[in-house]
Amino acid sequence: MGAAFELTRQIDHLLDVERVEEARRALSQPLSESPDSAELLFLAARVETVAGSYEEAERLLHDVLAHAPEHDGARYLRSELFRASKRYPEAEAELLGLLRDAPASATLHAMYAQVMFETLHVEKAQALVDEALRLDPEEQLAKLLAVPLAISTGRMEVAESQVSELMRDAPDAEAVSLTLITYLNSRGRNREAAEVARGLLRARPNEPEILNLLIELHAEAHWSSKPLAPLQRFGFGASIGLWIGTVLVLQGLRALDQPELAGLFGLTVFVYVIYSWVQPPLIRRWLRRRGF
Amino acid sequence: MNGPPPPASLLTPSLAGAPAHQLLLSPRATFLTSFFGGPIAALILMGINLQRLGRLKRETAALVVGGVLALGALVFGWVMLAQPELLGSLAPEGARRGGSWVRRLNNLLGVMTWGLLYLRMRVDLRAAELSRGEFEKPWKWAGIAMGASMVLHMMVNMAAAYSTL
Amino acid sequence: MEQSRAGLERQLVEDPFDHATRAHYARLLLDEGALEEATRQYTLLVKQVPQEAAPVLGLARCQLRAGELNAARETYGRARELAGFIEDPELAEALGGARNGPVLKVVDGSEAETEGPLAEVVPIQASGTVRFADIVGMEALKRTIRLRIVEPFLKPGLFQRFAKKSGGGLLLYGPPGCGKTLIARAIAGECRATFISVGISDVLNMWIGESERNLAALFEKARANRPAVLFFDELDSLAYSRSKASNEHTRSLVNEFLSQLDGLSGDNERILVLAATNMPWDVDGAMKRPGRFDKQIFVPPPDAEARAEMFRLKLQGLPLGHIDPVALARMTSHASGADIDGIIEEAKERVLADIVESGDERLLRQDDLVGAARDTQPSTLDWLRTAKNLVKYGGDGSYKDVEAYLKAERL
Repeated sequence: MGAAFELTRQIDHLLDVERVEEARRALSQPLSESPDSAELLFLAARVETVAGSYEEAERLLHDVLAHAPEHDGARYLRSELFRASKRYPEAEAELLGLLRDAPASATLHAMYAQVMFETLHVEKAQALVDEALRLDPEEQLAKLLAVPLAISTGRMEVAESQVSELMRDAPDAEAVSLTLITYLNSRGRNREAAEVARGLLRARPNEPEILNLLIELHAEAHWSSKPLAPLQRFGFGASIGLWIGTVLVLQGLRALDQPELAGLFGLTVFVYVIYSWVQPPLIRRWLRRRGF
Repeated sequence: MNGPPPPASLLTPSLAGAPAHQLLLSPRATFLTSFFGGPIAALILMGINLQRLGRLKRETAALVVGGVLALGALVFGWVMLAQPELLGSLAPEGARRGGSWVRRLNNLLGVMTWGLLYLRMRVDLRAAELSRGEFEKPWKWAGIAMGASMVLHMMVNMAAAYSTL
Repeated sequence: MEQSRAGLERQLVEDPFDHATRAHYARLLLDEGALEEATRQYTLLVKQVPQEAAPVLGLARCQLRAGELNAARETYGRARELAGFIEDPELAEALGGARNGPVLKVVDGSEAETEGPLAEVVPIQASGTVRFADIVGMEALKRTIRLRIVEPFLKPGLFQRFAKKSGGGLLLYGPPGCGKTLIARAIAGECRATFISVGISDVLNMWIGESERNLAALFEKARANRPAVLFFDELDSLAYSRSKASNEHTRSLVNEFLSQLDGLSGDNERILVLAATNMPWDVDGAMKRPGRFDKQIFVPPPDAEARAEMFRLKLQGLPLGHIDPVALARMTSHASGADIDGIIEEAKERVLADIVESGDERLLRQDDLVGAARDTQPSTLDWLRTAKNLVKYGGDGSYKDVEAYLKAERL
């Protein structure tokens, strides 16, 4: 095994176990000895990407590509950096360049689909996911993207079958858990979604996004949220129906000369509306304070 | 590689030369503003979303229908306040006693306009929620939409008051 | 199989980065007395695998044979700091002195050093084997460990008679800088066992050659030195949760670790496996099952009594005015040993700045320490906040000790 290969394995492992500082240290000496090595610069760019120092990573990738313009890894990573920094046109240009060189790459199609999905080009994202899965039916990113795409377009049976397949292949992978939560939440199965989110929190207790998601799901599944179930289930349709129904009932009661009943009904609806506004933030605060 | 190569259309740039990607306004924020601000507010907010999706031209028909509803709200407001007799027996009981029917109709038309345009971009709004889960903070545009709606309705009120002098 | 010099040279021409062959070749040259060539080969190897001790040791041997004693001593000292260092009796005797404390080493009870995170807990003895008596405070923790780990290890027969299971490993977890590593060393001292410590650098070296075989070699080393305590520092970097790992090698290393812990590849009798981690949630779940690291002990930040004692000991030898360690301990809740070191350093800097500015010498006073303590945020708080998330919302009941600590501290 060559030294470069072993160093790559070391860095792979250190990044896998979230040891960014150690990875930087492991690279510092080889880099000082060979500052122009494209492979070492690429490794350094990967380290900085994981560290969240996107500007530094981009600078390093620029150096890599100056030494080795066809470095595929650097071009992949640069497209990811552009996407993560929401510089979508640049991400698209990079990915299209890569796709021209490797038109049969399922991964590249999936990566491009992700850019299209995030920029809300839903139809194109779906076509790219389909293409990625045609090229490689096991392409993980494409399978993961297929679920929210199916939910967005209301094809719940597709979403369900994709989730089942993901769960069969990698039931404990974090990305799969997050996708499962999205699916369960879209079906109103918040209690189950909260349980999955709880498992994620146990693995990553220091991530505020996961904690917020868990609290949100717990709040929606809480017994005090039961009266709001129609609003949760049918969303704006329920709100509109409630409003129109209220106006009609009030009008009807007035026509029947039942002002007291109309008042009582109006008050009930008013209390319900206030409850629907006040309960969610209150229960979220309560759960955050008390735990569960 | 499995099967034939991918269709060339898939590999045509969709973002080149496009303006920087902007977040959409959330369905919740646009719905509430449309309810209180009426069809004018709905038209403004949902128009902003359509413009950000680059679909203003493609959705001209829906926007025209929304515009007609907005115009209808203004005309109805003027008629109810200035010349309710024009509506004859269609004028609801108590319409002359105040503007509550105008408000209710404004709410209804606002929600209808919102609903119509929401249906045209439901997939995109859902995708925005599921892909990045980010929407633009609504305060600025909701304020502008509400303000525009209020100004137009005040103008109608003033016109109605002037015509009954 | 012995290979000829020409054969090795041919192999190296084909693969100049074949470290094992180059090491073999360098050794052959050294044995043949080709000192200059051997030195060249070892120097090259040091460049190729800078984290490994073996090539540096080879270089030291070359220097020793060339009569460059000072250079050899310095090189040998450097080797001590590298992974995979094993004492070379010939070199040690010839060179004496050059000791800096290796990262991976085999220490028998008589020569265990107190290096490592001295900042966390203050040993009363300055040198020699670390014992529980050398660790300030943490009495309840020491009692628990004695009963659950040390005594079953020393008196397996007694525990067997009461049908009480002994064996299995111990995982120490808690915020950084609170003495987990020192406790592990003290456990080894109490068990009167060889202490083999595996740190993050060794984990890195796992990736040189066959990582699974390297891990197995560590267990073999422990088996050859029993009774032994095999200590894995920062366990999460070696046994990272497979569900979070994206690298296949990381997963296969965990599998090998599990099989070694289960004793599938050899008998683990009279070997105590200890581990420490700041991030127990990153450790693979299978590691915590019975027979593996089934005993998990929370090492909290030092209590007030321990903090006062730390201030007392760490301030010894400084020019002091009136100091009240108890008051200092009261105002440094949740501070780790490392934080207390930081506070003392900051106070010293304040005094020195004063002296430089005013030109008048003065003693280090209570208010210097109080000021420094006020400006120092305990480094354990982030960890405790994260642990609180687990206890409050995680709901799997795995962190009862942490829960009790958080309740007692009203966090």
